[in-house]
Amino acid sequence: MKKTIIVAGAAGEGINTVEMFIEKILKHSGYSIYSYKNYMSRVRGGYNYSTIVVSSDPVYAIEEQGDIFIALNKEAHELASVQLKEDGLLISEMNHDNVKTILFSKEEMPHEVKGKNAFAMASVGWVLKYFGVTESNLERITNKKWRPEVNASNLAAATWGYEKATLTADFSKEQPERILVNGNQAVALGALSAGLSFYSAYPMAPSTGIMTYLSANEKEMNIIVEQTEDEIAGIMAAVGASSNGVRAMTGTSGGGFALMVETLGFAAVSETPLVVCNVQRPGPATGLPTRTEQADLAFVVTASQGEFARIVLAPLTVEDAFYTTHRAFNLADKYQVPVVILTDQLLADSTQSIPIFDTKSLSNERYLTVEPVEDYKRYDYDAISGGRKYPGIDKETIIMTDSHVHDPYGHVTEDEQATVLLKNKFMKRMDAIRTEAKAPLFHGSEDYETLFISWGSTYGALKEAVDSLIENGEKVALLAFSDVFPLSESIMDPYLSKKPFIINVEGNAMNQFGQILRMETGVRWQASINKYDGRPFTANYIMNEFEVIRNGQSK
Amino acid sequence: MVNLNKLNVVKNDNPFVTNNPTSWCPGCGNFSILDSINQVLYEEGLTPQDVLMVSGIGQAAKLPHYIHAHGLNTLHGRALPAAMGAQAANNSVKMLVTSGDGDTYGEGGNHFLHNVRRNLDLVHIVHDNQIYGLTKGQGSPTTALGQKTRLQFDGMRHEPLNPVALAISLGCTFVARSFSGDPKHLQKTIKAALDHKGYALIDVMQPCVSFNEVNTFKWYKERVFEIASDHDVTDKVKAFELAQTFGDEGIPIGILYREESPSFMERIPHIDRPLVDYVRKPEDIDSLLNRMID
Ligand SMILES: Cc1ncc(C[n+]2csc(CCOP(=O)(O)OP(=O)(O)O)c2C)c(N)n1
Ligand code: SF4
Ligand SMILES: [Mg+2]
Repeated sequence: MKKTIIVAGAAGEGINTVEMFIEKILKHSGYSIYSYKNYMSRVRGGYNYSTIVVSSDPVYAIEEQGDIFIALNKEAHELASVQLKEDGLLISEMNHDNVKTILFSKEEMPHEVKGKNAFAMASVGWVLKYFGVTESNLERITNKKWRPEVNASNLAAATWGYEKATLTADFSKEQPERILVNGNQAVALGALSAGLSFYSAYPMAPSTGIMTYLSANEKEMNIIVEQTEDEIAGIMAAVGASSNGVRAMTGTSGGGFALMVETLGFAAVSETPLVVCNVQRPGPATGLPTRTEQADLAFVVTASQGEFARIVLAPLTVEDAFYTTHRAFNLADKYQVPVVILTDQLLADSTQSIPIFDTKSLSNERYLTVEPVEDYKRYDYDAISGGRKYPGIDKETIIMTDSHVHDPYGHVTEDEQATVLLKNKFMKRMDAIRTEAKAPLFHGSEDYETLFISWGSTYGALKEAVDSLIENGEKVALLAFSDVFPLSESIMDPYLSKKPFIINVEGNAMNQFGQILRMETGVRWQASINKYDGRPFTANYIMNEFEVIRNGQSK
Repeated sequence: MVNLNKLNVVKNDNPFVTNNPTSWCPGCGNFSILDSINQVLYEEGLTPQDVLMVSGIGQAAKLPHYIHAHGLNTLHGRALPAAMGAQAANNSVKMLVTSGDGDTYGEGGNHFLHNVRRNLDLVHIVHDNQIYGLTKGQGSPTTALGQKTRLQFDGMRHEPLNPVALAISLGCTFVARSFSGDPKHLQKTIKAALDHKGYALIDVMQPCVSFNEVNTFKWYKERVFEIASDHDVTDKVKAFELAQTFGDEGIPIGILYREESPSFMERIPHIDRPLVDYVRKPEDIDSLLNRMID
């Protein structure tokens, strides 16, 4: 069973607080949670909402319409009729003409409950009771950072709301220990688990959360987080740090990535490991700062002049964002290349209840040569991976890090043979990376006749769509690519023997991944489902589009 | 002229000195800057393993390839952010940045502003030839108004930037000027800069014999004068005043301004040893994860 709660209002009216308490306590009570923030690019006012899906089983995507709608202001109250399902419930301070309303009017509230947050907190209490949370758990409505009076009046309001609720829908489940994290935090934690020491970046939505999380834990983790003067400095400082031995990273969104492009090539030619996270938002230029899109892929796989080896990884889920980021650091060190992690606002601002990350299963592989070596060649043309040294790693070796075509010692050369050898080395690296790339995730019926192709965060909604379609008797399956570039030529071979009808599903208009797949493997899609309105895919959207494609086919 | 012979005396036992061929023009002012750096590093008792030379792109920025020490030759304008990251990673090495006037004040201008604010602990030697050398003679941020170049055929249309006045106004903690034609002075200045904890800028007047027909060795020689010994280097207002003197009024060389202030890494006290020395493992994050359980 699954229910969706929408909390709506203006920025600054308490959406985040309501969301936090509901998620935290329902997770604790044995529910699976998936939530997503839909917000405007402004600090106060506007119309924002959070969608929280509560379920007995893991959830991978939001729904467009809610079962319960908490209206924090008049505008939200009016939009409830659009955002609620037919039999949905509105919680509001006013009565609504055409929606069933749980009314919390100011007049009704007892004197001691009437605080600034009274309505919001009463709604939290009501929701908790609705989902069968026991009264003793209401005490979790406290925040250590807040004043005791605030916590006390919040609790009083929540208790009042709790007592008003009668409907209950308890479908909680016994669950192992889980954490609540969003995509940005998962990337930050993945980096920390890999031994990140230095993060330098310039703020830009929706990527700033990575830097904020790291900065909040800077002292405990003994790392340095530096806000730079611009993104050029952000990436260059990361290269400077990495070339001197620490694991370093930068993060940004597409606009900032555009500024980083020259240094991406510098990391590659100087064979310096580098991890960059691009949290995509719709472009071009300023685009839609707080919305989502998957339209930077074509740019990222070709960014920077010249030819060099790089890796582009697009995590599928919040959980995958953690493990993929950890893997990104090992790959960057192994092949001494830039690794770009492509997430998006959907993933960054989605919070999921997931099993605690298994740090015991991870190891940090640095591929270094610690002991001094006779006639050490830092840039040996035959060394595709490993063997790296940095200044100070031993007491003898002198290290040159250089942006030109260089000899095996790192010194500038214009020799034609050296030029070719260096390029050949990069191309061999690319081949090695292709071979190591993770196969796409397959999900669906084994006797599929339709095969959906997706990459990155689109997996979530597509998985739910495929599950529903299979329930309806359809023979469908999906492939979700996290290792999006480079692709091996034969990567699609295992999935084509039944000659499926291929539908490419992407959050952009140009089918950017579909084009890369076609370019690298010769496999082409027969139909596509695209979304580029700045809003995330939902299972319903994909199912409707699938229906349209099918009807078109049978005509 | 540059007394290269005197420097040659120590060349054999100076581990910084290489016989790598340079791509500099014969007679260029860059040679004596290289020789002076080699000499001072040697006299300070440093070894090549103790030193990281960072640069951008330009004629000046090629210097790390001509010296036996760790090197980080980055992109045009980007030496300073790379230096910042390198210093964050390992502040146990001595760091010198060598770059041109275009590299530093033009393409890298924004980084200059903000790394002075950070007070990175490094010696920044700007080979200020008042021209773009590598790209064959276009005007630079320090080329004089009206000066004809290989691109500005009718003369420069903008006022030149005053690097030392700019640095003082930014709060740079060590601001000096020197002249590549006076290696003794240059070495003395580099030595003082190396002893300074924080951002030490030395704007070095460096004749470009190929592309700057105005600011020649003779032109500088006739104008430079040593700052009077009674100049109070801690007086910011006086230093700023002195920094206004340039050109036909004379070019003061020496230390204009100096102040004590915590350096970049001293302002990050939770890192108490070089960052690269911290041992890290995946389980380090378990404390953060456990807190996310409720
Ligand atoms: C991004 C970029 N733009 C332009 C160039 C071309 N370029 C190289 S060095 C240089 C200017 C050099 O002048 P300066 O920094 O004063 O150094 P100098 O050669 O005079 O020592 C230019 C424009 C480049 N390498 N990279
Ligand atoms: S172009 Fe000018 S600065 Fe460059 S090496 Fe020649 S003389 Fe020196
Ligand atoms: Mg110059």
